[in-house]
Amino acid sequence: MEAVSADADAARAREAIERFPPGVVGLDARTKLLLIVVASTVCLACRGEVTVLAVLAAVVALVAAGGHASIGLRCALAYVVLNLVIALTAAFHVPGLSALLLVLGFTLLKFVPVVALAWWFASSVRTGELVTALGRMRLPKTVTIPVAVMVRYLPTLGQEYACIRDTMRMRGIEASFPASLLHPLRATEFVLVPILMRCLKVADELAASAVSRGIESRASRTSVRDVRLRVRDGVAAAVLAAFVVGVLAVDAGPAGQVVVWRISL
Amino acid sequence: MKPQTSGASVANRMPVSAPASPKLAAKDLVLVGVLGAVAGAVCMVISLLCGMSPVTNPLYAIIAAIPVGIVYMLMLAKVPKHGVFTVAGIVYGALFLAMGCFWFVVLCFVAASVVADAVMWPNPRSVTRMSVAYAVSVAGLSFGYNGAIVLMRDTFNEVMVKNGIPAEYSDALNAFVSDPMLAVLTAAAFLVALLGAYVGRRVLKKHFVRAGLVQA
Repeated sequence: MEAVSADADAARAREAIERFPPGVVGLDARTKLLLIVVASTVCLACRGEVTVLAVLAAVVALVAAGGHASIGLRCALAYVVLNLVIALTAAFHVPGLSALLLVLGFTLLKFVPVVALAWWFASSVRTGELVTALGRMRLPKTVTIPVAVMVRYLPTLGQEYACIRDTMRMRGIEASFPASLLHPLRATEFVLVPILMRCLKVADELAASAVSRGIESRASRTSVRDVRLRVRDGVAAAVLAAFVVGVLAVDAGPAGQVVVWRISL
Repeated sequence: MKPQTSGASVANRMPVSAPASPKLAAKDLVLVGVLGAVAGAVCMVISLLCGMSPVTNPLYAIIAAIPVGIVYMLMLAKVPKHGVFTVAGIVYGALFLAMGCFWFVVLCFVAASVVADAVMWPNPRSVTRMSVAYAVSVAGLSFGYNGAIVLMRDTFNEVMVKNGIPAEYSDALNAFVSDPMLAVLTAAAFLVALLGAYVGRRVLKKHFVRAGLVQA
């Protein structure tokens, strides 16, 4: 009786993992990586503010369609806030610094869309999916194993850090941010050494667990979820290519010269 | 050492984990991944701190070289094998890429990591080789990071013209993103990374060797 219901549960879980989400959410991890690389190149290449705004709008729309509207909104907000910070600094006329901040700040602003895409990638791609996709790219296990472990372990580091901070406080060591700035080397040692000690242990345990599940097997890895490049990935690549050509054309034309936001020193 | 858990004893019985084996075993790859997460988190924190002001931004690779030196020295002490640098370079490069880093930076870092592996090749246990190889990889990262800024020089000038920035400022800024500055920043990264490797070895001796976790 019990075994039957456990089987049914397992089947239901399997089905939930297997089902590929429709639309933009179900884009392959490889397509998302391609998007990031192309977007950072386009953002670097284009000069006009109008074009950067167009790229930002497209990214916000894409990320919203991918089910993470809040990421897009936050990045759009960051864009506005950064602009305001630059304007405020310029208004104070600090000699040298204002100009430096203005120019470098404007240059860095161009990369806000890339940050939004990277954030979306990190929050929407499952580890198993990523590893399978990388394997399909013919990357050897030498690369896929560390990537999988890294992606899996990165989110737990925050908890480890919280534990260490608590212990430090218990022993009367100030772990606040200003205190760390006063003694950066000591603060680094106090935080990093326990984390690394923990790492050695975690690595041992993970390796044992992975080896007992056959990670060293020569057979190729299978995946419950059917990871492959679908029609929508082709469509996405075509739309991306058209978009890039369009943006670069607009950028080279008169629209690229338009100054939306002008701050004079 | 007594085996505390069944998991640890399985790891000890792994036939491929013998230190003399030149090939990277699953155990080593897992360690590279876990340490990569730590190095990535450290880099993220430092890049956020450096990113607060554009003046400190080019110094990011140099500042990160010291804490990451501790992580790398631990990795090299635990996995003294051929190819560690290349694997770590590719894996960390993939993380940088997914974090939205420009691909030119990643390319430079991976290329420098391959060179670092070549430096390590004759003797992966030599401390001098470890330090120099680590310095090479950091110098590559710094070159890529600041090289990307130099590549954007035209954009700088355009922003300056559009916003009507006076000539004395634009001259100063062009000097800031000039080619010699790139060489200076790369050389500085190399030197600071040597210091980072030294600090890493000291920390390793002080804590990990004493605790019996790493052989000196």
